[in-house]
Amino acid sequence: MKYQTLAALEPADLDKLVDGYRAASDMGSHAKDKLNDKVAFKMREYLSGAAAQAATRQVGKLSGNFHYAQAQCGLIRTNIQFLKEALEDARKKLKDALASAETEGVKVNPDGSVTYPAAGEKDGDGKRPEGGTATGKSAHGAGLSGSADKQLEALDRQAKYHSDNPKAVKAQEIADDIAAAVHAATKADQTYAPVLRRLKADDDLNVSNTDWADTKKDTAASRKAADEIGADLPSPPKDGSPKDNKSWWDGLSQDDKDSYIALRPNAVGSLDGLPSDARDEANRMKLAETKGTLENQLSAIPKEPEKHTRVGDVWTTSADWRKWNEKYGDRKKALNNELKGIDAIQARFDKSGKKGLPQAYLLGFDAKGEGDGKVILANGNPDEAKHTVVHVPGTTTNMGNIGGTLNSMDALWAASHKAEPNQSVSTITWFDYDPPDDIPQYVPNTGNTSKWAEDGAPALQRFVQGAETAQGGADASHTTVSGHSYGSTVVGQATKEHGGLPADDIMVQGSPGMQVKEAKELGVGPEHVWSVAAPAVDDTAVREGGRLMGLGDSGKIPNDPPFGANRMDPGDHASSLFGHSSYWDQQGGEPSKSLNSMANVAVGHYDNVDLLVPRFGENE
Amino acid sequence: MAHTHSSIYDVIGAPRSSPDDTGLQLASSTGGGEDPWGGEGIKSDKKSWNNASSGVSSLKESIGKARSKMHPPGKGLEADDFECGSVLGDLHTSWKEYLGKVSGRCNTLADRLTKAGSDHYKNDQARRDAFTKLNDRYKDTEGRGPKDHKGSER
Amino acid sequence: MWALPIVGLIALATVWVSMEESGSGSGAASMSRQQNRAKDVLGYEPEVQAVPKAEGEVNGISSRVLDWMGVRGQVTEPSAAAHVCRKVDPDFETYYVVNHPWSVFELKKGTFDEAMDNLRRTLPDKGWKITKDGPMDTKAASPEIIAVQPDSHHTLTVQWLNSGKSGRTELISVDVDSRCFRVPEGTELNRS
Repeated sequence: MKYQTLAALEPADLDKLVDGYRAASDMGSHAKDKLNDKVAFKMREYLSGAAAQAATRQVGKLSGNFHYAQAQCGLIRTNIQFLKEALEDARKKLKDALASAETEGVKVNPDGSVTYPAAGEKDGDGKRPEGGTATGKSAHGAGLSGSADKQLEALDRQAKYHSDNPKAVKAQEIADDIAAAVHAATKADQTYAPVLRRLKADDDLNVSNTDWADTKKDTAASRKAADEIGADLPSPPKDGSPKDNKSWWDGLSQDDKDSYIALRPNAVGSLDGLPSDARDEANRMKLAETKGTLENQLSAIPKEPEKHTRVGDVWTTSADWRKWNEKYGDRKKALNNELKGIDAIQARFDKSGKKGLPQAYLLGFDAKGEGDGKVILANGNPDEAKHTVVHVPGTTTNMGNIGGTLNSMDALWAASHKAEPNQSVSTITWFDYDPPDDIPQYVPNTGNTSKWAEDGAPALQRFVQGAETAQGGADASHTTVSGHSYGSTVVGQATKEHGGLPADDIMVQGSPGMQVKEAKELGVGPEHVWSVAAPAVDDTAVREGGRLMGLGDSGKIPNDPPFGANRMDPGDHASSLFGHSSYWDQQGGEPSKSLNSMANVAVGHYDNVDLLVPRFGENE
Repeated sequence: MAHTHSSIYDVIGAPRSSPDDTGLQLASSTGGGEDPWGGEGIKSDKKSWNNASSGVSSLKESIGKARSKMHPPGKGLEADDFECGSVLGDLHTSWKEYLGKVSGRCNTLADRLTKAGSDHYKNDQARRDAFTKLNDRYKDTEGRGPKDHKGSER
Repeated sequence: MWALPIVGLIALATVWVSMEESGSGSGAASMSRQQNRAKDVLGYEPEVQAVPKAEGEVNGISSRVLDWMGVRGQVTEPSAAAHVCRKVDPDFETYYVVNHPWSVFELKKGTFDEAMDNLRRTLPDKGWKITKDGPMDTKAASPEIIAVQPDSHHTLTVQWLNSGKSGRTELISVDVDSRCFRVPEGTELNRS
């Protein structure tokens, strides 16, 4: 870039563009929310039938156009903003240099070199040091954003240039500054031109998988550009507590918040303490981008060949298939599993409004997470809930089957709303740890079986703390932390974390042990600990297996009477074999006793809970 | 099993509140005499279709407002040696056009939603087809996308 | 001490294998295989019924129960919804139950006591068989009525909760629940 161009540029002109894309992005966001939260929501509430379904689906697709516009225009706005800031910086330095040239009486040439007159002390012959022309070296120019100590710079330059003509030194400095300004501006231009070029609007209205996958790449490219030019994007406090994170977020300007969501949706989506709205916004972006990317990866896998072939009279697996399977088999399975989880989340979004289900908030999402995926999804906005349940699913949970847990939390929400219709409830699925993949890991010689709980506990503790921070403090909501199967072990471990687990009640289903030997060690008081266990073979296997593996302290697990927890009646689990996952189901034509009991705990109606017997040690 | 209208279903004092984020929804029966939970048939009332239609239609205005704030980069940003200048020009054109098309989509959908609430379509099947056919209208144009998937940067 | 979990796991594995084998293939032969297995597990053969119809039926029952209570007040909004029939189809692909949990509160006309009495009187008249009428097995010992419909096999559970409890909403909680159904042949339980 020529320095004249830089001098002539009006960064304020870029402001106008920034305003335009901000307006477009905000509009996209509001429109998408209106279509999802009001139009489609109401259609599901009041209309039914195939035509209504088809119509609602079209509303969903239209919403996709707005979501896409929001994402893309948001990125454009952020990029132009950073481009503008870099250009403004460079331009200021340039103007300072040009002004300096005027003052010093040196001439800036069209090519940026600086001509200086003869000047300085006369020598023996009465001649002054000659004039000349200095050519700028951008590397020696005045530091722009992120420059080091100015004094050191000045000294450095003096050391480089030595001349008897003081104007020569000045001219060199000015030429260097001009060169540096031009260099910085050129760099910004060259960095952002390709990034902005990527952000042209699609030429059709079908927001495809590729469009979302590209948006993900656009985000990465934008982030890279911002890093390259040292853009000023505020960072959250390092290792901040949820309270620190919330303060940081609340202190940001709206533009900065939007930029942060646009460039770092991962971070916003997982910062405990941030408002649920912001986390949901960021994670929905991430969900769309991840889905697009994974769908494309799946389509790129060549078609699976016929598995079986006949050789003479014998059926065997074909060589083609075996070759394919070796190369793609696992990858395809993994992709399908992750997509199944994404579909389950989308299915929940598509249920809002139907049959009275509230809005869903995606507070955490990652296809991989700690290994088997990450899904944190709330029914209803937890920031405003009077009663909150944070539920940790158990063994074998992964992206492929997370839908089951989401459905259970829907059922818990409905039962809790029925139990207390005048106070808002939010039930949250918290799946952000790596659970054991199968029960046999309780078999000896596998080492420390508490490992998964120890790894997962800190994240759970931070999340619950973050939820309460976002709510406005521990007293804003009555909080129940719930754990199923190995999830209960994570809960138990979390109570031992620094700061403790800020829960009012703790309830567990089919627990193999909570790392403590008595309910009173969990920090909420034994009368606030609730356990239920199905008298079915699979549930017994989990519980007793856990006891053997030492998941309870001193071999004590929650459904043992001496543990001192309230033991809820599991109801009629007529299946003698399978009961471990049935706590939220209706059983054999009756409503679930355990579900209704858990709902009453959730809303704090303790005397409506159906207990097996009074709690052991109640009269202590 | 037919059941007769009963004023018992009328619920006093609770207008249909809009579903708020707290999930607290106080229900009342719609229009008096209907089952609070929708009963056994297909729910299809004109008011609901029209509400959906006006919700979609209102977005045209929002788009218009946003578009009016979008300006092409001015002369001050036009220079041979300022690459972003021309890129910003292309960006502007593409997004103004895109939002215009989305506005058109709102129009078409709103129209079909209104028709669905009236006697326009013969039956529910025809009504359904009116919406599923929209998929054909907005197909993906592969390969004509502005994003260069081959070579250049990345 | 080791025997228990291992025996349990072997039993589970056996049942798992047989479940996998009946699978979810399409076609009449596969469906009748599934239905036979369902009959073994449940003790009855699930009726084949489309979800909206089954849900609508439960909504209808709820409306009638509200009517029979003979009171006026607020009702919670969620309507009947299909859920998993776990004993037969834990993956929620072809078998389902319908649950409708709701409550009536803030009465403008009539009392909770009257509502319960009206149900006691009316349910048998309408062909329902009351299987329980007494206090719940909870500290609060609230009144509870459980009834079944012998023809449609729906179960009704009614509980009058929170009487005289300040800070809580007094209400009558109702659960209307169905047995397991199977979706019509060739269809699957889809998300919408």
